[in-house]
Amino acid sequence: MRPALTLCLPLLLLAADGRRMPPTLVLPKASPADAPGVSFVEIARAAGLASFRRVSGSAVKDYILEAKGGGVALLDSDGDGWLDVYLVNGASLETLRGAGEAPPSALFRNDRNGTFGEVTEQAAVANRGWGQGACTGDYDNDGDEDLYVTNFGPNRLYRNDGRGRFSEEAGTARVALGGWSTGCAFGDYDGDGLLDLFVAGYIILDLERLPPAPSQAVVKPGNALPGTTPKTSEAVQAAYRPGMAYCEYRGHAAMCGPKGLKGAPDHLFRNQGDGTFKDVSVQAGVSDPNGYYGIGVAFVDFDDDGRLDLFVANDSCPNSLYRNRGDGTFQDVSLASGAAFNEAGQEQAHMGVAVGDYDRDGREDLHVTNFENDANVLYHNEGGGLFSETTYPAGVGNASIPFVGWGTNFLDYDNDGWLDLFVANGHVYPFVDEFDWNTSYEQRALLFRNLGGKFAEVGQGGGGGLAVVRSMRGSATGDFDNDGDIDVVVNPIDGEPLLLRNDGGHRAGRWLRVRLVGDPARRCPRDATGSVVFLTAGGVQQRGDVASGRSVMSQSDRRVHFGLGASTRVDRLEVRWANGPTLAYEVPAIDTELVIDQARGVLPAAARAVAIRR
Amino acid sequence: MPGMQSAILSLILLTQSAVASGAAATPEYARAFQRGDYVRATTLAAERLKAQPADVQARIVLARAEAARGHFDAAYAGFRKALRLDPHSPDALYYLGVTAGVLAQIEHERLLAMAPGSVRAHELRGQSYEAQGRNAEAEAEFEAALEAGPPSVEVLVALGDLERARLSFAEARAHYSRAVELAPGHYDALYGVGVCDAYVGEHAEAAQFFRRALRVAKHSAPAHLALGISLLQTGKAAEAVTELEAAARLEPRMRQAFYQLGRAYQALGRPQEAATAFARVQKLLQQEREVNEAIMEKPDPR
Repeated sequence: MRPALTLCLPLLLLAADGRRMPPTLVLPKASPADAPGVSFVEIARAAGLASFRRVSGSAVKDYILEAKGGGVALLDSDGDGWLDVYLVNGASLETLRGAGEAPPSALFRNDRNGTFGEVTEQAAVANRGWGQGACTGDYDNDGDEDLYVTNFGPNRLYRNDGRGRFSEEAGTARVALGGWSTGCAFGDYDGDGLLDLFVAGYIILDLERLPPAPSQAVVKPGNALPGTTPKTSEAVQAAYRPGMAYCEYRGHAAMCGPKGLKGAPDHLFRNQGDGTFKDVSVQAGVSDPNGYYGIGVAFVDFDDDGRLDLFVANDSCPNSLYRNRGDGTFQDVSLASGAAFNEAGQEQAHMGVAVGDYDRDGREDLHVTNFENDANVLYHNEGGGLFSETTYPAGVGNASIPFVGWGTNFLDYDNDGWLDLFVANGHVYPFVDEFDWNTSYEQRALLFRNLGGKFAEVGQGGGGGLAVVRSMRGSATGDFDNDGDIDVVVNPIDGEPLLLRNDGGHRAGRWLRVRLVGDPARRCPRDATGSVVFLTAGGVQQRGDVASGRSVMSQSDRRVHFGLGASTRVDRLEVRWANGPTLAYEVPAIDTELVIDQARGVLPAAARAVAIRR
Repeated sequence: MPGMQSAILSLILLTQSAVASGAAATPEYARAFQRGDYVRATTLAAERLKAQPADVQARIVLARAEAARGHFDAAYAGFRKALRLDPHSPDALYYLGVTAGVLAQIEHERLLAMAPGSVRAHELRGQSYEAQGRNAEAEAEFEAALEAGPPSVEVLVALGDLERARLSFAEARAHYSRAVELAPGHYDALYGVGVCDAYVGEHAEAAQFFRRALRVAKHSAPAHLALGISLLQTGKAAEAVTELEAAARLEPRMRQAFYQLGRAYQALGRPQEAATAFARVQKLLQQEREVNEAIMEKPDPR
């Protein structure tokens, strides 16, 4: 069983052939920076999730479609107050061409005892396409989480009936698209109280005219070709070599892309309030006419003007940051904001995006994952619409270099009041394992503990769950067992999911979880997406946003979780309701979930279950 | 000489590799090449060239067949001829580069055989490996050069470059710093220290080294750019503009210079100039994308 093997890896610093084990396989030793008494344990099998196995084309990864992987969503599909898990499945070229049926995506309902039961068929969310990502939002304001699934092919909009059964409405709602969609997010960009939908496009890929495949080259991966190794971090991912019938990575035949392939446009759909959406991408100014390869998507009010802006992590291109003008259009401030490139002015292979106020200055910062031999990038929000890169000074640069980063999430795993950082990793070229390149195809995750605005990598003190290696892709965070600490779920490529249960986080610090119920009559979406919670405890203010999408094509817990450290009370809690005022609320207790209804205020315990189920 | 054998084998494999496509109207000389019958491919391509001396593809296949037979001098000459006929032939450019690397490797192997303990020979061989992207072997040669004799500035800089390419800035800085101690006016070493400092956020320190590098090479666009970035990061936007404008003047296609210039203008409250600089970045991005797509779209000529 793979987890047992991976637990041994830290002891085996040398591979069988004498090569040094790359850092992508070896969890660093425990360090004083590791949060004492808090560890992650991988329990996917015990929790009943291991019956799912993502399929993603051939093992050799001839085409970029096969290497992209998929996302995962944590959602409360049946409104019982417990997080369920939706895992997006892929397919194969053969099934796309009509030979057999694509495997289903899977919905696992939370049995409220640490385990899950699969309910895909009952819930009618099998998807059965080449799935990419998932995001949730109550687009019809009926009090339950609806689910949008992106595909290579038509996307799905699963409308929730409130009891955990879904009907597929993408065609009717006019959000099916086609082509290759990746990340998605719901957000009310026009302030009408209805959730709109943004969908990133990746590549225009014609199955009848695929780019050259490495397995069809006479030179197989493994036969060194001279003269082609990238010398700097600029030269990331495979490049097409003139006159050759395939692309190369470090001199070895590899799948092509994304560079050189045509990028797909992005789409913004305006919710018309009648169950349909209208594609307003072009008039809103977010259609991506440059054809950048979008992956990670986040609606975020980065300038705190009360309007949701939009960030798109674009693979091998500049990131896109669009400022919401408030008149139904966006201004492209990608370059001017400083969030398009790294500090040196170079684009990177941007994959996923995490959003959070890691230094507690009240503004939302961004963390963007990247390719191997490059660092993931931390953009600090300076205010005034500007970001500055703080990757290396903040301590998240060096450790990330050998990894190919995908999903990324801010989470306060030790409840100390500082947002820590999780990164799901995995290479795209299986042949990297044949070489002494200081990296590997399957990789472990990275967890950085926030020590007051600067990060330190968590080592073996963070538990055996962090030692598990897979070729990971989407990741989502949430308190699946409602015990007061944040857990992590990962959807690797060609394999079983990971469920990293947080053991001890709820004992390491006090906590408060906040669930918001918006009032559409006050132009706040029912699920309160876009609302911000400001919490002050121990003289320090934190913020948490109710958000859709983010990470890599994934959806995290929509409830806002705060670690309170040693504080025994919350001094102040304010909610800046989406499209509405900022209101203060009393917090009667901590170490619990607080439900705040915009229309009714803090709900008493008895009313919470009703609010959840409504 | 396993290194040379490996390089030659690689080239042969490479020459075999690029034959998968374009089978529809493949001439006989190319089919012979595809079969691995390099002698016949040579004969047929040479005959074709007698009749059609300007046939670039025949000339390239002839040169590749020569290379596959280990006749690298002839191959090199053949690719040069092909380039004279079509200076923009990506095939000719690519294979010429590969062949030149193999030829350099052969000469360095001979040199090392003549003087096995020579610092210079190790250094040259390291450079040859580096040029071919064989970084681990290059590093081993450079380390051997350091062990074989007194420290060489060039070797230290080369080791620094290799570490920097891996983004191992602490290790790279150590090598560059030693080089600066030995040769305080060495541009690459000064620039290298500056880059390492800048990457870890030590911009004030970095700026000092970039200034020193510019005293050695005042027309270095990368040094002007790097100094501009560090000045911008330390809040000296006006000084940064001077440096970034210099970089953009020296290298009008240097996208990073225009991007940083835009940010510097922004910081100075000059939005119009910032917008112009960012527009220039967009234009350069567009051009780069078109080039990339054109390469992928280009039909394989064989």
